[in-house]
Amino acid sequence: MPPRDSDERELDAARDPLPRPDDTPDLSRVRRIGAAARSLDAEDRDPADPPPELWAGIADRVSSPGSDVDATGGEEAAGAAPVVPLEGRRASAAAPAAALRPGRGRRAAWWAIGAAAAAVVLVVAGAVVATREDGDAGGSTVASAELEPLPDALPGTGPGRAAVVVRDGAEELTLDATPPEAPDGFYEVWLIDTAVDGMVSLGPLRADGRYAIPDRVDVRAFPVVDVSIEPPDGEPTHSGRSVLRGVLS
Amino acid sequence: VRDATSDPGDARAAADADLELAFAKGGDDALAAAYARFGRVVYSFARRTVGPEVAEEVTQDVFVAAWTARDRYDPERGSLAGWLIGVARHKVTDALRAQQRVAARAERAAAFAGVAPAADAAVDQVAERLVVADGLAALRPEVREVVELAFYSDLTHEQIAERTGRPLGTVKSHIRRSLATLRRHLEGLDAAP
Repeated sequence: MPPRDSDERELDAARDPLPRPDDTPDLSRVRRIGAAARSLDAEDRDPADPPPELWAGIADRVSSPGSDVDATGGEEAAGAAPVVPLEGRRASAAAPAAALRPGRGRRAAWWAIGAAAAAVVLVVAGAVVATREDGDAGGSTVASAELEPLPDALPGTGPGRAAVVVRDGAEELTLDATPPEAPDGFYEVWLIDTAVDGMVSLGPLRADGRYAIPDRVDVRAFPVVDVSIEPPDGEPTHSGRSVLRGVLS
Repeated sequence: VRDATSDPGDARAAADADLELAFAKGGDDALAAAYARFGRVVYSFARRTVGPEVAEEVTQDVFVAAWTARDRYDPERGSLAGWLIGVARHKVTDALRAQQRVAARAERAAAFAGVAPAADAAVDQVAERLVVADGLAALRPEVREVVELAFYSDLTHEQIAERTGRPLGTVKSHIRRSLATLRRHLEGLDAAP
């Protein structure tokens, strides 16, 4: 057989996926390309269009105030220096801004998937921390979070603010959020862990904005404050429709 | 002097090259432009690996993460199309791990009926198929005709020239240059963080 020139070797490689000992990196990529080209199906050739609202979610997350995607390098949360940081977590592990959108049929699954999908992405709502004596409320603020509206929020939903206040030795979540009335359900307040796997309901949104945190619940383990819209279906689990979220620090 | 119209990619390739530079520099609207150009491929990849319901979240995560890490994208080391799919591959793998972790909880296993998580190798294959499909679609039709004969037939260069009625040199050049373009997609895929 006559020696093959480089064009011929490439053509051979495009048709033969089996690697050879003398393959250059370029040639082995040509083998991968040929194998991929021969296994294309109709959807590969004509990819599905993403839903039209998908871009808005990206734009929100990249530009939302306090998210500071640019400055973080993807790992550490920038933002205000925590005076009383919550222990045992990295801010970057949390705050999956739009990670939860489960269908109601398979909630457990979607929670965890959302967590993993979101784990690397950092969209921490600008967390502001202060330890201060709260004169009128008579408590001490140990952690707080700015809550950012998520793509599933109703139009007109503004940012909110949450704080953990210790009063008479008991922890309480104060929540300042006044989203528009949900026509198809009610708002519920949650504390969620950084894996977005476990969560504690603090109950429906209250006009006085005060929520008792049960003694046995450590907010350090559930630092994500989440407000969802729940359909009145009696189903006690999270609907997956999160509308406001922030991370306590 | 090489006639610009003989380049395999022509205007689309030039636009993609501009986009790659703008993205790497973090230029205004570069993320929007990247989404407009590659949103379908990334979303399609996510759909085919983690499934349609999680695909939206993963797609958003990919573009946010890619934008955050844009200073690590180097057009010299591969195409943006490949790189974005590479970023997506990591997100998808994370999502599938979580899916499997949850599935392992026996009491909830039933909730996963009908969900068959793709294995890593399958994810890689889908990633490579989609970047190759995108690269082929970007070729001018007369170039693609030649390149497809390289992949899907056993014809020699001479036979392809005969079949398509093009000069042998043109056939070789189309194939060589198109393979280089497609390789760049895989390089981008391999280089993604």
